[in-house]
Amino acid sequence: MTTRRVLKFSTYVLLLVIGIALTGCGTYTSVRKHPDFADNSRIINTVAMLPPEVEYVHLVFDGDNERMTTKEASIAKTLQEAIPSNFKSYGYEISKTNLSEDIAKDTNLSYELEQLRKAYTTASSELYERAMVDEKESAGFKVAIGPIVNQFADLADADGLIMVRYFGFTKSDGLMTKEVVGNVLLAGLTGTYYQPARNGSAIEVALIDSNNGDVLWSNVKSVAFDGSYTIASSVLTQLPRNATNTAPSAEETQPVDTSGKIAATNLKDCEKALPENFNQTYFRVGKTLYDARAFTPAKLCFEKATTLDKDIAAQHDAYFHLGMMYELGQGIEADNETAKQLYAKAGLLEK
Amino acid sequence: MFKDYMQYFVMGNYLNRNKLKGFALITAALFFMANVTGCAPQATRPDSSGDVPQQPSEDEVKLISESERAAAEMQRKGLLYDNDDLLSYVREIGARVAPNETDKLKLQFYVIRDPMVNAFAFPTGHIYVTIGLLAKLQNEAQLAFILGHEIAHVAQQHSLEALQNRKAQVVAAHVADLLLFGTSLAYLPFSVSISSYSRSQEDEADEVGLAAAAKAGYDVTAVLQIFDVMNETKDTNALKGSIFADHPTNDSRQRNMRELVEDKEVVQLATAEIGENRYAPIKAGLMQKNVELKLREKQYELTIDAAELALQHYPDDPVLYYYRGEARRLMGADPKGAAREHSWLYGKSFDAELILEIEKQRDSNFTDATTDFRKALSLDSKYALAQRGLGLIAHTQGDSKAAVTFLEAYLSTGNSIKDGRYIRSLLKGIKDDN
Repeated sequence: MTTRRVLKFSTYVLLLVIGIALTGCGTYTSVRKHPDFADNSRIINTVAMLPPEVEYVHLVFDGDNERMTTKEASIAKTLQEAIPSNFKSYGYEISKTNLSEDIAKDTNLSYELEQLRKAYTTASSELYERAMVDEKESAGFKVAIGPIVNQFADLADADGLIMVRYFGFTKSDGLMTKEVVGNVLLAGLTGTYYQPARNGSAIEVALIDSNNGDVLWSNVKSVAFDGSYTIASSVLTQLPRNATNTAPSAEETQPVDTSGKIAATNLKDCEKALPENFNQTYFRVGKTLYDARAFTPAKLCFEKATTLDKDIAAQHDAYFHLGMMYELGQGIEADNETAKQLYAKAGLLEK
Repeated sequence: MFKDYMQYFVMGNYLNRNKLKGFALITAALFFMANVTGCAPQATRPDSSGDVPQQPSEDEVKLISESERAAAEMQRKGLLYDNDDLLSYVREIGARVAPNETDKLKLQFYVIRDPMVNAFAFPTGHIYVTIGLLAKLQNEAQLAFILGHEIAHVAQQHSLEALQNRKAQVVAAHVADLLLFGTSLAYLPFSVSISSYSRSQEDEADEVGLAAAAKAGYDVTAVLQIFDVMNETKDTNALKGSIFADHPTNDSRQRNMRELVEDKEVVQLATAEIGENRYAPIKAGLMQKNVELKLREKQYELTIDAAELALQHYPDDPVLYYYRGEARRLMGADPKGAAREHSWLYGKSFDAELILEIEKQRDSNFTDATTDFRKALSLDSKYALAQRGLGLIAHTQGDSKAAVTFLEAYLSTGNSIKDGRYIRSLLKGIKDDN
């Protein structure tokens, strides 16, 4: 019942985008923090990711929209790789338990997960009553989803649970035409014309205290393209480092690929990539190299991935990773200006 | 999944209420709609008569795949209630009212773990009834009618017709869409619902369902009473998408069906039966589950109603006292949630005033809850959840000594505790404070 009064995630995320467009940015943020988490009085070491809730829709003119299940499954897979790996790089331990597998095998747990998601939907509507809040206000959110998290915490033996919701869409040609016409019409009345986006994706990530259900940290991000790697990483850029684990791990500072074998083999793959899907292949290879911290060949692959727009998502993801390399000075000298330009090319207006 | 559909419907309402913001926009939108209505695809219903097997149309293929996806999603979300005895009973009644071409339709019956009163059918022949519905029906004749009604939707290809009609509606939905500055949300309510039908389709399914129940040997006057017990909310408009929602209204449906009986268009067999005795144990088995589900859905007032109804049959069941007590405790502890339910039940607006009104009843809710928990413990002295409830109330009221005693007693009861982490962190907080 409760959820019926609450807007569907996809709806409210899209409304949020409009909200952001109207309020403008600046010192405003979409991050929400529990005061105890913000001042480090609540420490989370081990985290486990709940199965992400993914919805990807093909919107068409006659309203007979279609859920794209294969795409949803591949996005879910990407998120399940990208999000924990990001948490890891912020100093959190990742639980060894695969919650998704355990839940899929047990109908009672599946039902509990549904209940947890509903409770989160209610909590989230409270957190995001306003899309953007002042930076100072962002650490004053005491919202909880209750003891329902305990069963999952017991399973994963984790201090924190990661909750992820993703919504993406792509529009048909007919719908694009209709929207352009509609927006021109509105521009005549309002004086503002919005170029409708063909693709869009939005993500919401929350870290929940697995003992008492407090939402400790959350953020939302929406972009006018679909690139699950990019959005999954960018939504977490403001996640605080684990306070008890402040030193970057050895993994973060040293190249994994000390022998250079990974780089050599993958660069070969990169070279023989097939033309028809080559920017996606280049991105994938680049990502493998990047994860192995073989930055020089990774950069080469990402750059190649940006040269063709056959797969827009891969192109955006490649721009985003190049941006990160410039921002963090990975394999190159850090250069914030270039990083900013690359993020803009990745479709991220601010970061 | 079907919960999601319900949300789409609610969203539709939400938009309707908020749509008339500016005259200029409406004019512009109407002007625009006038231009696009001509582009709406013309629907043609495939000819299902004759013996030649028809190629499924594009619409049919789409509906089938959408239904399969929805069915898989319900499974994935753990919404299918896994109870063999109950399922075989529902399947038996379904087979009894099904037309002869059952095999062709590949009917499959499922029970949904949902306390709402509802039933729906997918064009694939999957028919779903909720625990909320089964717990509310009075007899087997009524179940036979419900299943006959849903089978009629499948057999008459109502989803396909509705889909094709919906394409015309979608253009209208674009109006609200334009009012939202082109965010393309308003037509989602129409886009994914597989099981929403027109008034005439509901009437047709009522007629076919009633005739099927009569033919299968059920008493039709017992069926007619169904509408008297079905009104869940005080304001039926709140329940869009339910078979007992306002399309067509329950009163007029009941009238239509009574006329069918009076005009002898539907005639029951001389040996017609109500099946009350066969239904009683089924219903008894579901009453507790139904109360539990309502509580989990934060339907506090409905939990109290359902628990009281069940207590009339089982006055010595500690679990029912616990559920009623827990609903009362939560109304005290979660006034916002309680206000949300109340506004939905009575069609009131959900605002600060309503929340305040419910907050004022906090003490009396806690007192009533305490009485219920104590009653549960008097019926079963080891009933752990009642101890939990008493501990949580004591904690809210600042009686930390009692809170620690009750909560520790709860934790000591063993392995089946699902919220050990929560209670332990609460106890730690209480001890740290003192």
